[in-house]
Amino acid sequence: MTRRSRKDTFQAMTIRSLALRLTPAALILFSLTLMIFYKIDSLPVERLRVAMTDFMAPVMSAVSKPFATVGDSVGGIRTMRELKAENIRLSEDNAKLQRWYEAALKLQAENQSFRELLNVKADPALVFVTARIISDPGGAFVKSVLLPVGSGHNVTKGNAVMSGHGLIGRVVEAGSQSSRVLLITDLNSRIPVMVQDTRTRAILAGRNTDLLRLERLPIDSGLSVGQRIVTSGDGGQLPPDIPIGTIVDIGPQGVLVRPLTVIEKVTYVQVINTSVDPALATGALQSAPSP
Amino acid sequence: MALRTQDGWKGLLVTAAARLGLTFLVIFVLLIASTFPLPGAHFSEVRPAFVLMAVFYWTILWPGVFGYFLTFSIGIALDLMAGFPPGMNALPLVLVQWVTFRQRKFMLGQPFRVIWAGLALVAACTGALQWLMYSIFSGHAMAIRPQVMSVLVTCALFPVAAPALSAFGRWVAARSSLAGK
Repeated sequence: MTRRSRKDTFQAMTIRSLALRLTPAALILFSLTLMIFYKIDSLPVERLRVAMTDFMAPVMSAVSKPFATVGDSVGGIRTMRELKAENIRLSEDNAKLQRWYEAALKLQAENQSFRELLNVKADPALVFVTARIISDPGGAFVKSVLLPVGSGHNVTKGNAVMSGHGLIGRVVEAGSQSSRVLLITDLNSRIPVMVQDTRTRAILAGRNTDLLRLERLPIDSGLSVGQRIVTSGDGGQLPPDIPIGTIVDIGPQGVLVRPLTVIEKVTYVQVINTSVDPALATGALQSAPSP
Repeated sequence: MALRTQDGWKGLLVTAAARLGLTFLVIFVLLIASTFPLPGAHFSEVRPAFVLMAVFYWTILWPGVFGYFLTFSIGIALDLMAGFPPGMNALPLVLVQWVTFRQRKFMLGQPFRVIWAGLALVAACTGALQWLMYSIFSGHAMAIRPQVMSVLVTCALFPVAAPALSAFGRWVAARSSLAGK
């Protein structure tokens, strides 16, 4: 009986030891399997990811708030000399903006009268939701941020996300309380754009660096350094004419664009709720009436 | 007899709940530390790998408390939060724990600088593995500089993070042993 008991104990220990040795190998194999499955079909993982970010978002928001406040306060402490210099610069900017404001008012009135003459269908009004970035978890490989706004705030997948200066990304996952924004600098980001003055269309691709690259440009597109790049609105997901950046280099690496915003420094963003044309969304375009 | 059985079940449930609570707490704390928005440009790119430090250090000190499944769960949670394919963090972390566990007896008697050197080696290998895995997965050779910087920051911050990790690990280990009783 004692011998049998010892044998059972020995067997149990062997099984436990074997399990302990095999566990890491099994988990590594499981990780590899998960990655392969994700490559084939990412939808189940995305659902899980949305559920998790929804769960974490309120906590992340609460935790990051005091640190953001401290950061803002520290950033606000400046010397008198810096404040004086900034005051002069702002006064000059203000005078310049006043002149632009007058010109804009004149152009707006002119534009309005042309629209009425031509009976132009106005673009749908854009609705903004402002949110604070609560997490930027991607590190060196993935350029994304989390926002504490989701479908409960009318934020949906595909919405454009802007800083004060221009487009910084688009919503790729939207839960009920949170959303993930893929930044324009991410390797997987592709935005339909156009050169503002020539209306040349292209695709703006992220490179995981500060600079973006224009792809699928027509031959002899006649680009030059300093031209502004804006969204083209092609595809109906992003509204047209949102500024993104300026061309800074045309060389062997292609046409490189620097975003108007230093994205890593952005704290607050605006999500644009676009109302996509239902015909485009469903793919059921109505045929034009016959003459 | 019936009462004793009920006590046993109740005890088991309490133990399981306490362990589960501690597991969630550990995952939660490490997730927040790893995804917190850092002020200033490019800081998030070179963010120190707190989870790697924790897994390495805790495997040496309390291997029974921080098991493979906990490490795997932290890795998967980090993958989900960071927008990575699932397994991209989990795989290297489990590998780190496996290797560290095998070297544990040697590490235990060593001064801190040897443990620090061990972490530097592990961080460098993990960084290289993650870079390779993500490059293969995305089909692009990723920029290696941010990853190198992240490894350097991880190594540089380890002496600062080690006391905090030690204190938190000791606290969790003490609660875990109480829960197990």
